[in-house]
Amino acid sequence: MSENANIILRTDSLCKYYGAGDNLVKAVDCIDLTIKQGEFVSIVGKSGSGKSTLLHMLGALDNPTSGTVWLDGENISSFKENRLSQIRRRKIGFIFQSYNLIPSLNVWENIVLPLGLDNKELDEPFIRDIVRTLGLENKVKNLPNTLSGGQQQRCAIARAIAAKPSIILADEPTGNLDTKTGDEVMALLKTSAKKYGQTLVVITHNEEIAQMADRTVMIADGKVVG
Amino acid sequence: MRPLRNQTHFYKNIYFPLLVIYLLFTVSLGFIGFEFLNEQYMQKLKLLSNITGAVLSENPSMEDTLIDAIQDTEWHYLTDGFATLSQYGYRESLSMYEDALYRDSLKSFLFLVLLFFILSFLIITICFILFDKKRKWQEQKLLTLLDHCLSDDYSFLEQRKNIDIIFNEAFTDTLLKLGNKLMLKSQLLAEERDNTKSLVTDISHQLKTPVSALKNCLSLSMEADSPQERDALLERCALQLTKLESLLEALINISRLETSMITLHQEKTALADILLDAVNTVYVKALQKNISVEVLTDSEDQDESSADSLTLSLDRKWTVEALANILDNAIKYSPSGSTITVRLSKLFSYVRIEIEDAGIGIPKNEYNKVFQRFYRGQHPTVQQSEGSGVGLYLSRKIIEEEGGSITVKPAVKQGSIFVVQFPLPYVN
Amino acid sequence: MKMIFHLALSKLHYHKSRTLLTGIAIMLTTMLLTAIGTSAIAMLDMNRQLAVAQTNYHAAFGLTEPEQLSILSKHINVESLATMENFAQIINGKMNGYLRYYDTVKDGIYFSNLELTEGHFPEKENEICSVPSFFERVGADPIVGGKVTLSFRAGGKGEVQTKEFTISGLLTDVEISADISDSRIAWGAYVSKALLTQYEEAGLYESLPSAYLRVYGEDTLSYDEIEAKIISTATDVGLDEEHVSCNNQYLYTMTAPDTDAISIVVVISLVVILFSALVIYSIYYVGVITDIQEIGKLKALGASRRQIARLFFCQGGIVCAFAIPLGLLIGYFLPWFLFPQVIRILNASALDSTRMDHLKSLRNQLHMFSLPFLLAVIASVLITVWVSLLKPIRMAKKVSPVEAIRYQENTTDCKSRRGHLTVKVSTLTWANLARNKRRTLVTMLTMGLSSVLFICVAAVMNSCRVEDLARRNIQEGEFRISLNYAHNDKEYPENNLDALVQQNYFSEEFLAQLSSIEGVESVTRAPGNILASTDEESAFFEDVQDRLPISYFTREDIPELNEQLVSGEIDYDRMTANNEILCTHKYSFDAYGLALGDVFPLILHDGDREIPLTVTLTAVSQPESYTTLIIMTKDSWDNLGLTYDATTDIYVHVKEANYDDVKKTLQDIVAENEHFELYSLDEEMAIGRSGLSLIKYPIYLILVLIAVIGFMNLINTMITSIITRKKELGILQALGLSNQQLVRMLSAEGMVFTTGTLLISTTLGHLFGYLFFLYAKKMHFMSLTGYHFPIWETVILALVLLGGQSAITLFIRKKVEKESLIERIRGQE
Repeated sequence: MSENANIILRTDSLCKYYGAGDNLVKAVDCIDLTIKQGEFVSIVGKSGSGKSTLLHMLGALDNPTSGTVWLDGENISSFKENRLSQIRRRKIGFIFQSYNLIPSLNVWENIVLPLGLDNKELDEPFIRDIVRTLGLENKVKNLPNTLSGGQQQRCAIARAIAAKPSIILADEPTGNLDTKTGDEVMALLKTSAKKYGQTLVVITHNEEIAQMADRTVMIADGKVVG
Repeated sequence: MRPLRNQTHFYKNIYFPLLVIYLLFTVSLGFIGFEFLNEQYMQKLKLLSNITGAVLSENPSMEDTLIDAIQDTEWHYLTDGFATLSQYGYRESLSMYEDALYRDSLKSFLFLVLLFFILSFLIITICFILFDKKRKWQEQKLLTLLDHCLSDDYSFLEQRKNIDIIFNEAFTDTLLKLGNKLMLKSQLLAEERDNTKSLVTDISHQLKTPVSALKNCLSLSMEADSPQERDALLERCALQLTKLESLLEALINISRLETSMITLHQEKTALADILLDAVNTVYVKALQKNISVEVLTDSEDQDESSADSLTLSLDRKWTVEALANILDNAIKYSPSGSTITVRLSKLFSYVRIEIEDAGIGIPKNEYNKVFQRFYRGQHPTVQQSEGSGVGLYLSRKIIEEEGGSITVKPAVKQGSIFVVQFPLPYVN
Repeated sequence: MKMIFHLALSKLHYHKSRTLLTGIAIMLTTMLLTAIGTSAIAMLDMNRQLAVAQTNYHAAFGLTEPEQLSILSKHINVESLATMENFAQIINGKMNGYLRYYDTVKDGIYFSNLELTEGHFPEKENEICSVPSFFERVGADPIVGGKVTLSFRAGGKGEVQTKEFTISGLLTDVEISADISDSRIAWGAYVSKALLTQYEEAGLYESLPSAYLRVYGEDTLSYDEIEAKIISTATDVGLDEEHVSCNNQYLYTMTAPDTDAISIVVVISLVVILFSALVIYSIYYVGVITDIQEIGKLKALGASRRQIARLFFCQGGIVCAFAIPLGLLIGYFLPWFLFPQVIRILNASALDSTRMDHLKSLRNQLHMFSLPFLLAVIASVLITVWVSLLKPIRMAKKVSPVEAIRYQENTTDCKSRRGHLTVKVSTLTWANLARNKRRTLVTMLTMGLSSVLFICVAAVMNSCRVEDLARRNIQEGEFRISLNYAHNDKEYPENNLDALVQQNYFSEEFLAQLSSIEGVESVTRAPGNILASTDEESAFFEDVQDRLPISYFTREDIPELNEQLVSGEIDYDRMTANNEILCTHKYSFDAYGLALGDVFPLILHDGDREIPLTVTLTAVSQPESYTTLIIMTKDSWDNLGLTYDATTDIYVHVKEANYDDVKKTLQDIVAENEHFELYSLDEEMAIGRSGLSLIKYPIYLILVLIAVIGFMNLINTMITSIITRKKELGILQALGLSNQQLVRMLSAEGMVFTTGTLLISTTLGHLFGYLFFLYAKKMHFMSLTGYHFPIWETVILALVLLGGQSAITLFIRKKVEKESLIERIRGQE
């Protein structure tokens, strides 16, 4: 049982099908996955392998066709939209390839946004620490579009960490960045996740990025291959 | 595309009918104007006859006065006439439009003028449009020609007739000259390119033979059964022993590191010192294989805090070990005489150290595995060479412990690049 | 060019909602302009037709020589000519009747009262024709071939002759309102040329007809030109101007279209154009802002600035190509269907039956179509679209390919934002609005302006109370019995006020009789009137047949008079002491060239007595309810020592419950005396109501349409603000924004627009509304008295705005939510 206690995220024959009949696309086909607390897992696959769909289901953005996702011991596949919103802002931190910062809010506001949505008391020293860790101290008042790609992604990382989620899901976090910046961002992501004790799941098609992970899950045609 | 000929003829032919229509219209307008005047004159004659008839039927003696008045050019009776007629509204200031008799004529005249104006406007507009179209058509053709030139298609040079239709002769001549010249030049270029290619092939063929001969010779010498040969084997055994010793040492380090029996003492250390130490460690090996180690700093970053003058919070001894392992690895799999390049660059929150070798490289699917314990690559060279599969694992352990990261990626030409990132002092 | 066209088409298709909104805005604009203009054209045409329906002569010449007729008939200017002469005066008690002779010299003159229903015009000397009611009045059967005996005096002088006539024809009967007293109707019967010749030969009558004529150029000349032409024709035949009487009403209608109507149409059109230009501008402006990336991409692909401009013009052109014809069609056919109906309903009571006859077939006859006008509408709409496109195009031209590709829909140039320590849903709302400051402002302004306009007009309309209108005629109480008097009727002096007062119709007994009716609370007298004449030359007096009624004011009236004081000074005692008077009508004051300090030696006609009194004009005021142009102080009035009671109006106050019964009784009492006229509150209210609705509803309709155009803008802003943020909203939801929070955020954004609009409209609207009211009051428009705050209109506006805005938000949200969260996050646009 002590094994189980450590498990933060688990999927049971998770499936996502699109279309029907001859056009049936099995984006995710019976995936069983277990991710332990504090682990850094990379999910690697070519584009179209279903890795993004998998991540979306892990992050409660998308409903599986069948199967279940267990997050912190709760079956999130059974939750209603409202509860899912709560789950998303409390337990999950998202990092997207295209940063997806809110352009009308400044860096600080972007970072504290998930907290604000949850009406949570702000743990200011904690956020300040994150901001410092990610080297954004001088940029907190800036609007996102005045930042470089790397800075924007760092801001996104800060946002993902700020709400102290159980798990951080990153979808091609370095996809829009040059190699050096990408490496740097990955290093930061890993360091920060480690520092704040968060589980990190990164999906990528870049195996150079994947090698930073503790464990790599290879996905092809919606199935785990290694 | 329509046949060129037809289109040009269309343009040439349309102007003529338009001109004819315009001329016809102008002439007919002249005729109508003439008829108009004539009708007015006839009206005047009729009016005179009518007046004469009316007056004379009442008063025949008036004949002379009447004829006088009709032929009078000095207008002697004008004032008297108007005096009577003004009762009925006829006066000098009367405008033609006010007289119902003339109003209709005036209207039709104005209508005619308007018609003429509209028609002229239409014809001019049509001419403009046609002219513009023709110009655009020419431009388009010219552009097509130029496009052909750009894509090295000079077939148009043989069809002078087609071009003649579009442009005038002088233009066509110059255009064809230009085309010819461009064609010659591009042919010349193609020849040169082919020459270079064959040259490279030749040279590589020349090199291959002596290398394989050298290799054959080496393997033959090893199969000989003489005592000298045995000496050599012993020597090799001794070498293996030394290797084993160093392997053991590495293993101990790893186990200590993993069980946290040693702690890293991170203190401010100059990156340059660490690098120097690391390079010194492998210096002898490099010398033996005639491999040079080159350390480059990002030239863009020339301020005080440029990468090599940085002070980082690292454990000097272990970091040197980690970097030396990577360098050692690089030297091991690099051919002698090659260069190992160490590139330093300062990023936003990290210092990036790239160690590039020209060695055998690492296949993609082994990226993740090379940092694993006791993992040795599948490549024959790796299998043959001595090594424990511990060095890189150790390096990774140390570097990550210090908040850094290490990854590997292929070099541009050959070999691999190991990327080590150390956090700058204000991170963590 | 072809490529641009295709690109424009596909863009229009891609931004379907925006295309639709611009299309609707353009369509509505076209429709409004067309509808307003077409209605105006129809109105003018109706007036024209009504004018023609009466008679179509341009001028009547009182001939001085018989020969003038033959010169006129041959005159170059004369289009058609007819003669009319009063041959004899009919002698039949009080009846006011004439035997007339009418003759057409040159065809083309038309009199509506000379249309035969049966029979023919008199040819033999003993034939006669007239309206049936004439024959009834003189006691004969109105049938063709019937006999009628009449006494008459040829030429209005000499002996009375009696002759038996045969009825040769009947004319179209004119319905006569029952309340016109018999003596005021001029009856006419037409006799033959033969009769005239007979009398002429006998030397009993000398024919000198009036010539009714039309001159050439009615449809091309202006009023002044045609008048000059008439005068010059008269001069040609040797007639002075004083013998010429132009048919002004007809000429005005035909030559100078109602300038008031035209200026109103122009003003409304300009307002409509202004609003639609603003709306179209802001839709395209928002479009450019959101499209900047796409424009940048086009530029990166090598589109030139001109091509970008052309792309926009092309889009505008395509939308116009569909919207304008549709707008024209609807705008033309809406009045085509509605105008006759509306006119019929609204004017049913106001028009007499002959006019009604014409209105019945109005739709078939009304000339509403005017190609130049429709072309002008098309041109003005195109220009409006063009102008509104200019600025957005200039912006689009300036877009550089590089900035465009990384452009993140950001209209503010600021690099940073002060921000808040914590983020709430409201922070998001404000941040988004602040990011699109200009867009937010432009939208709020357009919406605000149309609401301001609405409130403004509503304020005035609301202040136009039917009761105020009714109170113009009944100052107090529920009924007014008015003495119907003439000023200076020489033919029937018994109708003049000075004669009437001698009858003492409003005696104490009469008032007592009224008071005794059940339900009557009290009967009060209105200030009396007395006729004044002067020996001096004065245009002021001439226009009221030399006799001007004068009334008085009391000390209690002074505040109101002072409030509306135009010039001079009101000091009751001084005015009493010096016999000073006050003019109550600024326009008469100006029109007759009066000045303060003018002295009038007056003769006041107190029944059979004449009181000389010299008065000085010392003040001009414009109070709401004074029946006479000149008033004196009550004390001056009392000092006159009038013998007769000068009361001309009495007010009857009744209990509400007895209103109907009292009305019946009063009607009976009033019917007994031909000089009495009864005004009852309910009838006046009805008249006021129909008059008010005639103005109110069309204006409200136009305002509503303007508001709809403005609303297009709000819809567009909200749609673009949501659609362009589809991804952003997706991210927010991915970050944990719940559905309720999303709704709250979007509604809050809409609320900002709504409250902004409401704020602008309530503050500015009521401010301008009040100013507008003051102006209208000064201009005496619809007899405004007090400012009534348009509470209901404001509430309705607020509700409509709120409702509309939430409906839009809901609708768009539903549309957005059709796409899954993933699609939205991933979506490129």
